[in-house]
Amino acid sequence: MTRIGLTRRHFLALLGAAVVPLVPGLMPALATHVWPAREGLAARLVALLTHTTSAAAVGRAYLAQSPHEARADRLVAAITSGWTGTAPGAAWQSASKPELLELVRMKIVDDFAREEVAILDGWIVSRTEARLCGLVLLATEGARSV
Amino acid sequence: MERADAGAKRTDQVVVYAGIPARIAAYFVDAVILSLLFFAVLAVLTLVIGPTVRFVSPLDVLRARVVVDPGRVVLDALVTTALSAAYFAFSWNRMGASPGQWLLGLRLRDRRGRIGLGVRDALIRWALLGPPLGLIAVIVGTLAPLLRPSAIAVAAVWQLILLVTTTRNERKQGIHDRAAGSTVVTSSRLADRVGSDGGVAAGAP
Amino acid sequence: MLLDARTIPDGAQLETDLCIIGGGPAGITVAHALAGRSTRILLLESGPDEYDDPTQSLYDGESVGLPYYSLKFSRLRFFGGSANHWGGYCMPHQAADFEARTWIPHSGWPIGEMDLAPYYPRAAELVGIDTTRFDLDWWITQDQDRPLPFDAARAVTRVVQIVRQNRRGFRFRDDLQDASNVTLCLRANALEIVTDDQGRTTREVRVGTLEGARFSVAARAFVLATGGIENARLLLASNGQNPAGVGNDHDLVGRFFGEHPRFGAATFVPTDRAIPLGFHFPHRASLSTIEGYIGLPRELQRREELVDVQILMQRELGPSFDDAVDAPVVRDALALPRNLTQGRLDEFGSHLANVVGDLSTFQQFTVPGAPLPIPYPELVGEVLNRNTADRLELIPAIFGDLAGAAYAQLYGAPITTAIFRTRIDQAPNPESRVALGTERDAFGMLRGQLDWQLTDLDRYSVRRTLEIIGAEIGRLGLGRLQITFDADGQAWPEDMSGGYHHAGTTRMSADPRRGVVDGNCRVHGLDNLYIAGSSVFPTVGSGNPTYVLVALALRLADHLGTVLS
Repeated sequence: MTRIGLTRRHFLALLGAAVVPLVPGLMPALATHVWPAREGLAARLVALLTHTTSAAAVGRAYLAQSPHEARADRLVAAITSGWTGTAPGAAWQSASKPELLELVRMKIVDDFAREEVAILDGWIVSRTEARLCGLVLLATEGARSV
Repeated sequence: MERADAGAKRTDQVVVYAGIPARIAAYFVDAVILSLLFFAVLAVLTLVIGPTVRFVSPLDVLRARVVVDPGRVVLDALVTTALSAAYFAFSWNRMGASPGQWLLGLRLRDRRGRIGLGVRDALIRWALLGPPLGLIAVIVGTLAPLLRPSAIAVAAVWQLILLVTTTRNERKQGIHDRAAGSTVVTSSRLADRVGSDGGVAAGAP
Repeated sequence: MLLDARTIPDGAQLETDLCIIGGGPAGITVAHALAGRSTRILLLESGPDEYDDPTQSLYDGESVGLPYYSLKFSRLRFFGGSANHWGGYCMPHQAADFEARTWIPHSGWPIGEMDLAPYYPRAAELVGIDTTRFDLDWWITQDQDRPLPFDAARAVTRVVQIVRQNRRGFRFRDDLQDASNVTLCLRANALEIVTDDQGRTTREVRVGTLEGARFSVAARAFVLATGGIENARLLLASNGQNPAGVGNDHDLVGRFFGEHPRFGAATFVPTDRAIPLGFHFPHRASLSTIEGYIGLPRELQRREELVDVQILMQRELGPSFDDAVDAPVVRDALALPRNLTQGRLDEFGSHLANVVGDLSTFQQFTVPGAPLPIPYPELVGEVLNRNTADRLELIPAIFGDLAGAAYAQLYGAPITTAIFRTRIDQAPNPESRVALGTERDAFGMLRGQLDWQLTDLDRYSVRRTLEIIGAEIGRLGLGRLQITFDADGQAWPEDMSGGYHHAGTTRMSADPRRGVVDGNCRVHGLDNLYIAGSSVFPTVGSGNPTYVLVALALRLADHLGTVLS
């Protein structure tokens, strides 16, 4: 029995050593695949960008150039429409995080293909990525004002 | 059959119903073993019939564009689900515990208190643990992507139901245990370390 | 035969069939093509065999327009001419370069691509390249590197061949010296072209040496081949009979000076390290060292009404130009991982890199039905099979950012961005011109004065070209482009220069009111004066002038062979 206990301990230790390094990379995937999104689309779009300060800086430049778009509903509408691809509007609403990311990326490609671009500080960026950053700016500024 | 003797010897001992943390830990160990097994089997499958995920050209890494074969995804899901069923049914039937449970000193007893489950009960218990729901989620998600979140939600809710019913039952029998007539018990010192909220009962069942 | 002009007696009158003024690529090509024939040829070269400062100083002049190279050194004045500092870049003009484009005033050649096509094989031999092929599809089969994968309707890659340094001399001195019908006369400076009283026929060219001797050369035909500034200067200065100079009845000589304006116009920041840019830098392919220029398809230029703007990439960090040209394979460790942008981009650029990085990650493809999210075996295989640069991109995508960051920490390469430099086929502009200045050279001849000017069309074309290429780069997920050139301002960038490509000052047109020479390079109104070299190009063109002008000089030699026989 003692021998079996030792074996178990060794086995567990080895297993742990093999698996633990993988886990940090895997857990986000687990989270995004398993849990359905409950927040609104705007919040889920904002969550795609982890570099919030950077996104806000880009968003500030964009909204300074296109002040009429400086409302979350307008930005969300613009991001999810004007689309030459085949994804229906509903796809945005029900998309999981990876799906949303893929939709955004397809839209960005679509933007560039149609030259739907903004030039911010000389940088040629797609309007969708600029608008996403605008959303982040509105979200962070909103949070600050509350 | 062969498990009957071992089980019979223990029916008159004091048994400890395994606690939730120990059972989750056991499940995690099984998950790791199964994942490695799946990886190996899918590697063979990929060698034999080709990959599920393909880079369209060497440049595709630039655009992070890969093509996923949806038929293969369903096939992969069927294969992994079948492997999962075989893994648990075989180990519960032959060893009286899955490898994860075994490592953590847990054992399954059938309705007559013997260690190990019959194949039919083992399959019922496995099915109700949720893997088929995962398969359904994959198939639904592949055929109708819009329904995938709902399918995943159903699977998640089911896991929650299992957890709650297990916790609230005095023999720590979740719905899956009740349907299969199984109890998870421990007779090992390991269980003392891993979890201590197990119930104690004299005799069984 | 070789002749030193210093040995010719003062006041001598030489006589020949064909007098070629200028021993650079154009003049040498004409002489070389006719060597061994019965036509007697006298090739006058101002300089000796090597650099000579007093001779070189004859090129000195004033630049009063946009900043330009010192005129003293923008051409070389000794045998071999400017081929002595030639970069060796070869590319033919495209069919569209010859066309009259309605949105580009004064565009259009009286000859077409097909008129030059028969001469390119011989031109290739003379300039030192081993193939006349420039089509990208063929070069891809000869090359391990790949051009950026543009949609051909949005952007294109054009192949330029680069002659090896040891083949660039373009001297053929022995060939000419050995040819029984060719006399190569060094240290002979053409001072004036003299026509008959009616200005219909060129009678002689007056020649001087820096030592003070003067003599003249009479010939049945003359070829002026002294370069885009000097051709105009000599015609304008030859005003003994006509104050406007020779061939200048319509005030066209010296006008329409054109260049290939170059400046850093944008910064290309690749999204990841795996983007192979090697094709767009000089690198060795099967038969030649080549480089891929980026441009717009001609149809798109027509729709957008743009002049041709080609983009040359320049690494911000890397080997020097000269090292790069002859390197067997120039491999670029190009990279811009999103986590490592600090210090290389300005603040806004770093923010943008972060945003692009956030949106560029893979979906993490995991095996379905597995209780833990395990990656597909083929993705792991993919990681194992790739090189370090690719892994830097794949590992965070497959195993997550933490694993990616760890890998980058261990194996990360320095970040390299590329400057996009322009090469504009500038719109013909009559106000961009070579004229006579007020100072005089050692012979008392008025020095040349350059007033280089560009147009709003050039500026607009650069901007639109960059916008379109920038969008295509974004569409392909290759990275992002920052336009650093002030497209809305009036000033041109301080780093602007040309390519030492002097064109347009004796432009070619079938119509004497629109051009100095006709389609055979003969000066309108004069029956025996021809001009060779890029000064006859009505538009600078997309190609490299040396290769094109050598083909054109071969065509001229063909014509002269017929005329003089």
